[in-house]
Amino acid sequence: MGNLRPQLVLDAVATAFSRLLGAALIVAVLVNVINVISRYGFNHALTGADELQIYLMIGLAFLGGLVAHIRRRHLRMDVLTRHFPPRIVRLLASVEALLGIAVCGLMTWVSWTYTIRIFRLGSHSENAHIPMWMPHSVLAISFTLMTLVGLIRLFVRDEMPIAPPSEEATS
Amino acid sequence: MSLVLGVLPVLLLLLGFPIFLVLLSAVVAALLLFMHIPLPVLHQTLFGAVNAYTLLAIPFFIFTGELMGRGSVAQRLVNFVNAGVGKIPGGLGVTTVCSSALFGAMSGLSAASVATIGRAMLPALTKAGYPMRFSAGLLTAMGAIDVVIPPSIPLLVYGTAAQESVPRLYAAGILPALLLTALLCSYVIWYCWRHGIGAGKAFALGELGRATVRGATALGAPIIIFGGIYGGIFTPTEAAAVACVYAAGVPLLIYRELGWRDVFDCAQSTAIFTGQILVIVACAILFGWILTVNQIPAMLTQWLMGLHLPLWSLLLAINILLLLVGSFMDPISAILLLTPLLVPLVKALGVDPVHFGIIFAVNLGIGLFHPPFGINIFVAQTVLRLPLDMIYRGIVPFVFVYLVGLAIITYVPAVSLAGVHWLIH
Repeated sequence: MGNLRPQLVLDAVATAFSRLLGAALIVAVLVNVINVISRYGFNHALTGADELQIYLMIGLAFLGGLVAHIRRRHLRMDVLTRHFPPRIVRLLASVEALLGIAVCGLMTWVSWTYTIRIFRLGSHSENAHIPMWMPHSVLAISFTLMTLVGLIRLFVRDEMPIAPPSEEATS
Repeated sequence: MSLVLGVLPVLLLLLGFPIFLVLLSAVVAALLLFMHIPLPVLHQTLFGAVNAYTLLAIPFFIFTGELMGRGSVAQRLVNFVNAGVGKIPGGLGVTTVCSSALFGAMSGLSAASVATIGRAMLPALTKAGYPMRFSAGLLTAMGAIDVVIPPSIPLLVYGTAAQESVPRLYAAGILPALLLTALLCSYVIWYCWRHGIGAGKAFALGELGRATVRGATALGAPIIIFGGIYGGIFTPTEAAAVACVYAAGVPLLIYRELGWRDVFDCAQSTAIFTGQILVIVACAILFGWILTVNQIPAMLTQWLMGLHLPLWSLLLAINILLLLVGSFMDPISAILLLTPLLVPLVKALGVDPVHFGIIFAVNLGIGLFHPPFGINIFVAQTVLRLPLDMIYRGIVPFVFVYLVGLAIITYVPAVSLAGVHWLIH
């Protein structure tokens, strides 16, 4: 039961983020189409529409990457490892978690430092006037949570298997 | 340095580590151990890599594909193509190939095409007496066309990585896609004629008219995409967004076979798939930047130029490398990893990078169904419940058909560049 709880928390986090990102995608599509209609229909482009969509996409990229990380759905070349004995697979999973903690941990520090600097500078995007610390903080949040996921995987026995190849695994 | 940027990533890849982590680890190690560049460059480059309006087309096209994959769009397409094919040997097989190409022109997703058109066509092919091995090969191989046909996601990613115009790449992909479709159809007709496999129903204008009316709304998406981009109305990103609204609106409001919940489900799965791809895009651009700063592509180009090999043999070597890589790795990751190394080389050799993009895509498309590990093989196995050994035996002739197409596309640049001249200039 003690092993189950962190996995449930991770699942809940992944579900919450995937709903949020699904909504963000729909917003980005609608903003784009409204902008097209506005440009052709009323000869007037929405100011800052492109910036808003790009920042939503940055959220999709890095927070979507976080969801993929939690659900073990990152693209990988598992041709060889599929044939490895379970003990080696477990060992590699631990090494992967350690490497993930080291790299994502460093990125967490770098990204927060950068985001805080942008926050102090008070810079805004050119057209939509979105505070730039907001899109930059997406990377910081994503790497922070990826580091935490790595720590949980390292210290809690994680039973979630690596996702098999599926029809959405590649284009 | 070569250990960190060459051996380490290859080792981690082979050990099955996530590709984004492989790239990021190599970059971090190179920065910490050998380069004296402030670390914030990591954040700036990752952020800057995804801070690009063109990349928005990726989630939008994937979303369109997800929406098109649900409901009856695929069946309406099949009915439309079947009514147009008429009574020729292997008519149903030809319908399968053309429907897959048409579906690819809507979604840009190869595996989705194998799953969706495969599900619609496998029972019909079996009922019409096509040998199971042939059907397995055909359904697994047909999706490779979609890697070249616009709005191909791999071509979009190549455009970003090689800094080439996406409309030019899409224009360049049209004729090669038609060539591959024609080659596949020719093989299907020849095979069915030789084995006496029945022709379809005779062509009837009335039936084609009815199928066109029933499928007209389904056919709207490629018209929006192509007409919008090449009519100068939309950018590829805008065309993708309008196609999304269309792909959601038709099954939601006209066919009434999807609900808002389905649309939101598609948006969620698109978001995760986008995350899987764009995180690699960001890390690969960072990796490419490190390679460029260390002049590795330039050194590789200089070394290869020093060998004084003829162009045809270098292109042959690149094709073999890409076929090998493609059968172990998905096209997007392969494009992102190899573009920074290969594009400077082929540019130095005088190959048009747009033409090379098409060569790249065709190779990786073949890799998608090439034994032993092409991902469409596993899609066909999982979704269509076809036995693996049957798929392996079935795809062999199709690999040869595609190789003929690849040879033509590689050594006759006009096949790719004619589309650019017609549509762009």
